[in-house]
Amino acid sequence: MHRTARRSVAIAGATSLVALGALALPAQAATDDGASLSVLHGVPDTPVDVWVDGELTLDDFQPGDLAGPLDLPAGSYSVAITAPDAADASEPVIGPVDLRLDAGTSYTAVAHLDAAGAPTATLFTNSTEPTAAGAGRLTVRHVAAAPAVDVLAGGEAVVTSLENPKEAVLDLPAGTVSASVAAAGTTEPVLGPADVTVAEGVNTIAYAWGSLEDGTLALATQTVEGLHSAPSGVPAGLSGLAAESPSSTATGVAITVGASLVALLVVAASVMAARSWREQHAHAGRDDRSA
Amino acid sequence: MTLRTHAGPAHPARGARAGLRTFLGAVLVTAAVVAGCSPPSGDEAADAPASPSAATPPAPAPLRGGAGAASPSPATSVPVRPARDVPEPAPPAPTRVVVADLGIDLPVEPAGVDPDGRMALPGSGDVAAWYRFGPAPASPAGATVVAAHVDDPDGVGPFARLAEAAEGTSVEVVDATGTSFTYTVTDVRSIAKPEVPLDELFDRDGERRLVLVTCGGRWDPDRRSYSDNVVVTATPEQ
Repeated sequence: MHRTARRSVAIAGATSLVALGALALPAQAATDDGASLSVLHGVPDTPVDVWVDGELTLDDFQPGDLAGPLDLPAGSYSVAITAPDAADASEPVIGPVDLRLDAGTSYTAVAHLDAAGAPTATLFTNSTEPTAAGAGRLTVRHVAAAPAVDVLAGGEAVVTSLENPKEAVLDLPAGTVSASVAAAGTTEPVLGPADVTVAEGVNTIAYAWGSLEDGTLALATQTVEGLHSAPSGVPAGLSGLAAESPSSTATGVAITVGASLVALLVVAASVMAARSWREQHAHAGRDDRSA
Repeated sequence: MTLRTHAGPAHPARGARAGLRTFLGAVLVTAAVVAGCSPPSGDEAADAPASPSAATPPAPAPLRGGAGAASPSPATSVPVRPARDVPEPAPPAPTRVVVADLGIDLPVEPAGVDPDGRMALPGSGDVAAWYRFGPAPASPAGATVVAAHVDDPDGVGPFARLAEAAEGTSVEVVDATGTSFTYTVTDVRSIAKPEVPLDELFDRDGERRLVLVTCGGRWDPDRRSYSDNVVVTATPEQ
């Protein structure tokens, strides 16, 4: 048990290093110099106490509950999970596990069952990379005592063969997804369907937890906010008409009318000029004849 | 409106969050003290990045006025909730914008982004758009962005007159609950599009304000685009 948890933490730690490198801008989900830690209790039927570095931090923590986020200085923390009436952390049921938390990173530590049903703990790094304008992020985590699963959205598999304790991350247009979980390669839901709201600029994390065999499968959700980006521009002109008319429709009309008047005057002037020229020549002819 | 979906913007309950931060300070001190006493194991140290805060743990601070740590109850209560987080409900959408001094009185519709990630506006200069993923007038913070086309194939739109707005001009916005919000113009700028500070325009966290946007400058008939954005910023009237 201990070994499993340690390995998961090591993997998560390595993942977080990669994530940290990719984080150009720290989101408000975690502060620049601190780490953000949430804790999810995903072991059915068993309230627990959570000890951080030997200090009781969560008392009588109930299954399906989410604690935090704690804004912690970056560093390593020893976390032990005991029965709810323990006097100290000396006889943990999970751990102790060492969690290495990096600055500017958001984590969720999950106490859960492994695929075979034994209690364990996994430290997940929550993606806080910016989302595109109009998009949200959906993270799906398999922390249930169950074989590999597919995640279906609107009846279609969007994640396939997800194993405990792995995750899949999808960026989607903001909206509501009808999601369900089925055994890998099948479409008959073992969990759901449930409406999951994928909000713009938010990482919505859905956990499948509990035990398939015991009929305790359940959905838990966590949100990490502040990932949004601004639109890439505001195209607010369609025809170019405003470029010629400085201020208003009335002015535009005035200019049009004005231009028409000028044109009319030009035409009128030409006609008159032509007429007077003809008249002058006519007079000249008459004058010639009369002369 | 290619992305008309159900979800609205998520606005964190900032007050609640700030309160949480404050009281977590105590937890942090506790954690930091103990963390400083337990060096990381060898294999982790090998993996660890050279993080200053990890290398130099915060100085110990007195804890709970000398009270004994033997009693099995938490030093500070950490906030716990059922793991059923849902986004904050969307704030009431603005439905009408009025700049009486400029003869502007337009209906406002919610708008998202177009396939290129730009703010999507209705096809007429006679209808304004509200950026529905950002703040609304009733939001506790950030910029409510309302934009309209400066022109359309039928002519020049009312927002063309925004360029004439002066500091002190009054702007009224009505939202879906019928509540009226009055703002006072503090800034009018025509900005070349590549220079437009979009993050600032669409800011969700700073002071409450209204940002009216349209186009201006030169028309490029090939790109069918104006060279500038006209940006009018207004702050809530006290």
